Amino acid sequence: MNFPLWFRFAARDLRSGLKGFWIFLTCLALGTATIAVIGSLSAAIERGLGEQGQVLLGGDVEFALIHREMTGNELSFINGKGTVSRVETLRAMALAADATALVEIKAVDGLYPLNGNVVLENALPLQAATAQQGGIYGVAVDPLLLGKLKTAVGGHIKIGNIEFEVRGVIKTEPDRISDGFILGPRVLMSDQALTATSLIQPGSLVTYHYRVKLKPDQSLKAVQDFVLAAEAEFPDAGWQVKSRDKAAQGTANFVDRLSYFLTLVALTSLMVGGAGIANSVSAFVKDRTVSIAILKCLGASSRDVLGIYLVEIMAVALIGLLIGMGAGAVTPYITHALFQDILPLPLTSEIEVAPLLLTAALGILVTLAFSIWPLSRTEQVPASSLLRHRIVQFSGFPHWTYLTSITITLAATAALIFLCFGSQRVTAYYLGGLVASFVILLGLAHAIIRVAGKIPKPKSAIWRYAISNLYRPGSSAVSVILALGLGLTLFVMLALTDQTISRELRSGIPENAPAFFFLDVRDQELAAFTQAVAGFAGVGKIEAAPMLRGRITRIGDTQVDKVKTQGNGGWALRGDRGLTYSDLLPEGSELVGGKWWEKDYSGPPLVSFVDEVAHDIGLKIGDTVTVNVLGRDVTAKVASFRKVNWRSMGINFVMVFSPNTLKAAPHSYVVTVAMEEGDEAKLLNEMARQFPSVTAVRVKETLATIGDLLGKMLAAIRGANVLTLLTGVLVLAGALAASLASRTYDAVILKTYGASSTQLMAAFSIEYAVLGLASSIFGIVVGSLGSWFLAIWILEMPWHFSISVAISTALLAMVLSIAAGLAVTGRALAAKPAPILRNE
Amino acid sequence: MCTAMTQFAIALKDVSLTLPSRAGPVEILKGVDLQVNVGEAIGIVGPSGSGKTSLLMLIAGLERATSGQIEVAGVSLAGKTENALAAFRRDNIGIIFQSFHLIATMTALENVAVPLEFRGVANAMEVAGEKLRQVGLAHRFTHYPGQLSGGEQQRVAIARALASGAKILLADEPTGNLDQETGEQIIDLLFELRRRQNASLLLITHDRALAMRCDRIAEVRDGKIIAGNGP
Repeated sequence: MNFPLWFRFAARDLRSGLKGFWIFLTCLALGTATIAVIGSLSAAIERGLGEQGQVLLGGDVEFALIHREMTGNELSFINGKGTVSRVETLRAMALAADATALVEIKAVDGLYPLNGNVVLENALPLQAATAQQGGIYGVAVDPLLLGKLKTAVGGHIKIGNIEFEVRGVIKTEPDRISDGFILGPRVLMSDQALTATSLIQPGSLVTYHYRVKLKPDQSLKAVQDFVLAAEAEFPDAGWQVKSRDKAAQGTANFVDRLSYFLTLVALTSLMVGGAGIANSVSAFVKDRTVSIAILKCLGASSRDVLGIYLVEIMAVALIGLLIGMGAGAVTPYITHALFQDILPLPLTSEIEVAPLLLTAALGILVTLAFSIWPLSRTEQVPASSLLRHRIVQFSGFPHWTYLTSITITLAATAALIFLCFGSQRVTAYYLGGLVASFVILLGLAHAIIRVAGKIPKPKSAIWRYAISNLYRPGSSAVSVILALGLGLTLFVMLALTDQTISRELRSGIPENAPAFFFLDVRDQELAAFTQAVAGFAGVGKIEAAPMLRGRITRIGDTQVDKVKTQGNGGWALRGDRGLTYSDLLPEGSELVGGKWWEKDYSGPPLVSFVDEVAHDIGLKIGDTVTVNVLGRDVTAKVASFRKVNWRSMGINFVMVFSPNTLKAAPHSYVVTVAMEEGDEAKLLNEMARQFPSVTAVRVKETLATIGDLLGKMLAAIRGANVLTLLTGVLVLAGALAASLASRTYDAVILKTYGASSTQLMAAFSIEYAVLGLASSIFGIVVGSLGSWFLAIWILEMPWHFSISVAISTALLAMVLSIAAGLAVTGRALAAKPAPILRNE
Repeated sequence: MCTAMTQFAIALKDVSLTLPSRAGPVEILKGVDLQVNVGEAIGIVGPSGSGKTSLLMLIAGLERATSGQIEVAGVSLAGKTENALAAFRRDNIGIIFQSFHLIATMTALENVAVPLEFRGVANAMEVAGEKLRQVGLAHRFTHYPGQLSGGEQQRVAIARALASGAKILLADEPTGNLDQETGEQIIDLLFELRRRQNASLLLITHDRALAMRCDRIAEVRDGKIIAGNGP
């Protein structure tokens, strides 16, 4: 191989500029830029989360305990290691004159925050905002709450048993992200004020966070050693420990997952662009036919010719890659400069190398995969074509060595995606779907070409010309159907998935589902509470169940962090879970394994598990499970498995214990209330006033909050999909532009023999409409299948087909196809016959 | 037989060429015999479609004979692969086309250097420069084909054909795209350089007067050499 010669000749050829490469460059630059921007942004966020771990966590290490405070021994252990600050979080109801809202309370001590600063809009220090002044405590609140309670700074609200003055609006809460998903607006108050509310009673769902700020400049290793030492000293504490390097693990996981889905969409865009790359390289080789023949006449081997043009194509690809990588490289800087103040996430501003390298590798592989086939055509150019003046027709499959190279390149692309992204199952589905789509689309395109060639010729000249354009040599049918078909498939898939999720959230509430979940209903007020609720007009079924929270710490003798899980069941082992006890099999459950305990059972502790979770964590009947409740380990034997219909939204728990296990522990009740008609707001308002320590979660509001979050995710994915469609249109335009010369010639000849521009335009429109229609039919069918698969197997919700999405997709495809076609061939229609005929 | 043929620069024995077409196979050349001595110039004349260009293509290894033997510069072309034929042309043959066939994206100097570079000649550019000087284009080194006149382009093509020291020149209507005055200048140049390099020349032309400048004329009609096939 004569690399220097290949480079020299390629460089010479490139001196003539990038004419003919614009579609190639745009497709590659768009696809790689999207991947690079998504990757860089995600890496910058994750780096920001990592670097600001102390601020986000509010210390070096956090010990979180639910239901109980630290014991004296535990506290003195951590006190000896550094400064300790205690924060309590819980949900409660906030009341104003004529409104009620669920709030997320964070009660803080004088040391809060150990790292970072709380900033209020009126610049009041937090201590002053929360202190007791004139016998009334102050609170700082999320601005959303002011709207919900129709109040303002200076106004009064009631939480629990006492009244507060709203003294500030929270602008920055440094440790907000580490709290994860919250249902209501934040309220910051002092810990003395929380005590005064009387919200904390035995069994209340309060979480105590002990943040430890170690002595300055402690390495991460020292932090981790401290965590290990604490866990070794108090193995049964039942706390959840987070160190500063995992301050916002949930957010990091979310960003990671969203970035993964966006990257898959961007990769589809790059693959669609691959069709544009193939078209451009094909046109490039055709354009260089004479040069190739000359080189061969002058002694160049086929390998040299291929080498020269491969180097040239890769050099052009490098420009596209640099544009894409450049966009990725500046993203952290631009995002940091423009959005840092309004984004709830910390961002670093530095070049993220890893995503740029991934972009470069994917860009090179995709370019190679789509260039090798057209480049292999250089072999088919005979040197004799110079003397024969004959048109070189490229046909057939390339030599097996080229096909092998293409396969290896595609396999390397797939391997890279597998290597870089965690979710191998979804990646496998994605790649399988992509390959199947490519193959089916290619088959469809060839079938259309074949059918167009076989059907009886229409009598109308316009139709005849339109149909013959589909199958004549150099037809753009394959490229157009491939590019538009893939883009539309993704479009339909996302649009239908969007509809499925929205519909599920809107109408997925079963008829008999509760309207409210009331939490923290104390044992002694349960009867009065249910009686009061029952008195409201429209109230239907009322259910109550005891509720505690606890963490699984061991399965048999295996520590929970060593348990191997499969499927999605691992979530049950992470963090605190709701627990209950019951004499009877809960409503909405079906026993599918083992035996339910007898009424008034008094033997060793027993527990019943949801079968799906039990299967994923490898539980069998008779195994033992240890759960830490209120700092005490409770070991129970697995007595039965239940199948639970979660969609009923009734009260159901993963773990239900025999009553003798938990009855003695301090706990509260969860009460569900169904409402057929009646004023939900009124009930909420009244109950919050009568039972100030009870927290109400309104199902509709919660679903709306979740829907809003999912909507934002889908909007981001839809945004990336617009790029796929844009790339599809580019490929379409490129394919049509490649045939412009022959179309212009045809148009001139037809005009010479009397065809009007309108007739030609009609013929072109028919041709593009046929291609658009074929693409949209494929897009609707395969996109629907894809969204069905996503709904049933990934999202696990019923799939909904939307006829409006299907029709709008078909129309979109036709409009895009005809508009791009007419825009590109407009020049052919406008061409004056005389100059072209004279040149002939 | 081979040994007997090697004394010639070009030797064809009973060569036939049949090409496929939609209407069925077409016999282009029928049992052609031709010998050209080393250093000899031969003019090939004949009407359009008689098979002149096909003859040139067989000799250059651009087309494969259906039957017969072809030996050029002592090398039998039978059974050679495409790449071996390309290397053979690189080392032995210079071709001059009617349409010049310069690479549009390369300068005059680079066009001339192409065969040298494929041979791996270290000072390809210097040699190419010298050849361009010889054809009177010392001032056009950096010009692209599009910036040159037809005559200048053909001079570049001649320089390229001679650059690698080819001992056999094949010219297909080299003045066909030029006006008469320029054509004459080009032919003068071609013959002068051929003489200096002692190269054999096979010149295909419609112009009998031009052919007369060669040492010998062979006439092709209906795929056969009807006169002048031997020295």
